This record gives sequence, C-alpha cells and structure tokens, in this order.
Amino acid sequence: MQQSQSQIIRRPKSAISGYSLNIVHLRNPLVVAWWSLVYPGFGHFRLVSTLKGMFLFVGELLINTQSHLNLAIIYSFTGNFAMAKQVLDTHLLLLYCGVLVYAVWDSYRLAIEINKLSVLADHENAPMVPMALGSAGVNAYDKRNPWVSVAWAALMPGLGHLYCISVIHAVFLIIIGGIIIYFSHLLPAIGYTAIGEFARAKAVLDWQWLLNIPSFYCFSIYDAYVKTVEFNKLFDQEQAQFLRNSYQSPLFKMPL
Amino acid sequence: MYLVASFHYCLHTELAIAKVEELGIKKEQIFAVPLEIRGETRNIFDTIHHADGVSLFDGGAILGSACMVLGVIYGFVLAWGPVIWGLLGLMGGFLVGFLLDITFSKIRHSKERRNDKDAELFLIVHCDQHQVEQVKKTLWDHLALGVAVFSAGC
Repeated sequence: MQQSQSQIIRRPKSAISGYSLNIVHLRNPLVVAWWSLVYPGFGHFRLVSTLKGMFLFVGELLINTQSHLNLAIIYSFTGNFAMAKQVLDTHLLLLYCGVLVYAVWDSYRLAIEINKLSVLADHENAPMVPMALGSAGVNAYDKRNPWVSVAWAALMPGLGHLYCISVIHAVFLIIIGGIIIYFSHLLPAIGYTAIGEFARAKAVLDWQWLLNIPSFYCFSIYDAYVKTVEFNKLFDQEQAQFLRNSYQSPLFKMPL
Repeated sequence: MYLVASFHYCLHTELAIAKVEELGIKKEQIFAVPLEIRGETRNIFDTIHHADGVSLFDGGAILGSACMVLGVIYGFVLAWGPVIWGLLGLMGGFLVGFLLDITFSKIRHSKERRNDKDAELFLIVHCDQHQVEQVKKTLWDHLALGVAVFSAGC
C-alpha cells in the first residue's frame, strides 16, 4: 500500500491524449494578462484553461456584438464622439466591464499559480508518458518547426493549433474565425483592396465584426508558435529523462 | 572498442539506440549522457532543435496586435482602407516590438547563442572490434552529428 502511494505523481509535467496536449510550463503572467485584455478568453487559452476561455470569449463576443462596442471604439478613435454615443446599445454594455476585468485578473492569477506548479513539476521530475493512442487519434511527443506553425496559423487561424495537437482549440478557432470572417465581409474587401477599389472595400465591410479580426488573427499565430516551442522543449526533457533512466547502467564498463 | 556519438534530442536518436541494440549490443553496453540545455540562452529565432520559448516573439506579437487594431480603426477614415492599414500596422508593430526586444534584453546574451549544430546528448557504445563498422554506420544513418572510435587502452 505504501509502495503504491509513493508512485502517485503529485505534480505531473504534461498530459497527452488523442486530441490534446497540456504542458505545465513557465509563462510571463503579464503577457497572459495582455491577451485577456485584447480579447477576454485568450489569456485562458494561453493557459490551456480551455473551457473557461471559450465561455469568456463567447460571452464577450455576444456582449460586444449586441452593444455595438466595436463601432463605438472606431467612432471614438476617429474623433466622432457623437456617433459613438448614438451607436451604443446600453442593454448589456455594462456587463462588458465585469467580463473584461475578471478575465484579465483571473488569467494573471492563474498564470502565477501554474508557474508555481511548473517549478514543482520540474523538481518532482516524474516519469512522463510520451505517447497516447486513443479513439480520437494517435499522438506522441515529437519535434515540430515553430515557423511552420506560424505559416499555417497565418494562412488560417486554427491550423497552427491543429499542427501541434491542440484539436479543441483548433476547432474553436476555426469555427469562430469562420463566423467572424463571414460576417465581417473581410474576404470580399480583400478582393476589392487587391484591385485598388478602396472605396468599395470600405463600403462592403461590416465594421462591428471586422474589429474582432486583428486580435483574433494575431493571437492564433502567437499561441501556435509558443505551443510548438514548448512542445519541442517537452520532447527534449522527456527524452533526456528516459535516457538517464534506461541507459546509465552501473554495469557499463567505462573506458578509463 | 568504444564509440562516442553526439546527437540532437529527436526521435532519430531513439531509433539509433534501437538499431544498435538489434545489432546484438546489450543495454548495459550503451551509456547516454543527455546534456542540460543552459536555461539562460537566448536565441533570435527558435528552430526545431532548440528554443528558449520567449525569444523575440512576445514584444513583436503584443505591439503587432495593438498596431493592427489601430490600423483597422484608422483605415475607416484613411484612403487605403482597413485591409492595407491593418497589415501595415501588424508589420510595423511587429518590427518595432522585435527591435525593442533586441535592444533591451538580447544583446548581452549574444555570446551565449546556441548553434543548430551544437550537440545536445552523447552516446557511448562499448562493443567488440568486429561490430565497430556496423555500429558506426547505424549511428551515422540516424543523424549523428559526429562519431568517434577509440580503444580502451589509449
């Protein structure tokens, strides 16, 4: 009984499944808080606090869309304050403050907690399971090129996450990204911009939806990049651990 | 006879060990020395073989996303529209964030920068004279960075 208890891994470093990979690693809590500020939910995505992140993201998207907050931002930044006041719908607007501040605060707090757990996990150095074989797929620790992640994520938000096993994040980003791209009429506007018809490009755009694009796009590239880098580091750590445990026999005849 | 080979951390390294074992070398005849990667190293760009995770991407991504938002907003009133100004904002912001990161934190680490050719682990294989050539070929075939052969006496 005592023996089986000592084998319990109290601070695991990572968990892999057929569709996901979660690594406890050090993150800069200020960068995490920044992504929550850019879009509530993204800070939690950075921490692979996926469900919370999705909930906050969809909440912010609904409140923002219903209250026309993005339009008010555009009018305010371009000096048209009268239009900014006129366009705002105040039925849900004040809820936005709560969602935003909570997301920033909670992701900052959680990042610090996970950093502590990461130090403890590295100290415990418990054996990792580097492969998962399940009904959803087969995944193993492997080395990926972070710049390939960036290239895929730049082509379409979510593809970079598919490349590094984060299937839930990828599906969410692809579906929500598709919705935002569709309602913002971004792709027709890119077409008009490409042939120099800037006035038609402006006219075809839905500005309320369009302002979601920059943060969405940048986050999916950044997150895919960092995920891939951490994935590679995890591979190194696990392989070093495996070699130390299996190939340092006291029976080995040293050359000296 | 002894063989020493240097490798990166990658799946090929495990394949190399498996193939060497298939040649009849016992597990006790193989000794691995995984090196600890220095935590303080800073690389300009992460590659598949080494990374520090922070690099110069944080500043670029933060300023890039902020300037892209501003580019799209002011594209509302500027002549070229939000698509071009958004992209210009992204590129400009990323570049400025990247340059700021270089100036503020990375210069003092430049001498510690790691090279893609740097070894990350060493394998020592103890085997008989007649196995040396086979083992050596196996190690080279699985992306060894360098291989040396020597006998115990010298």
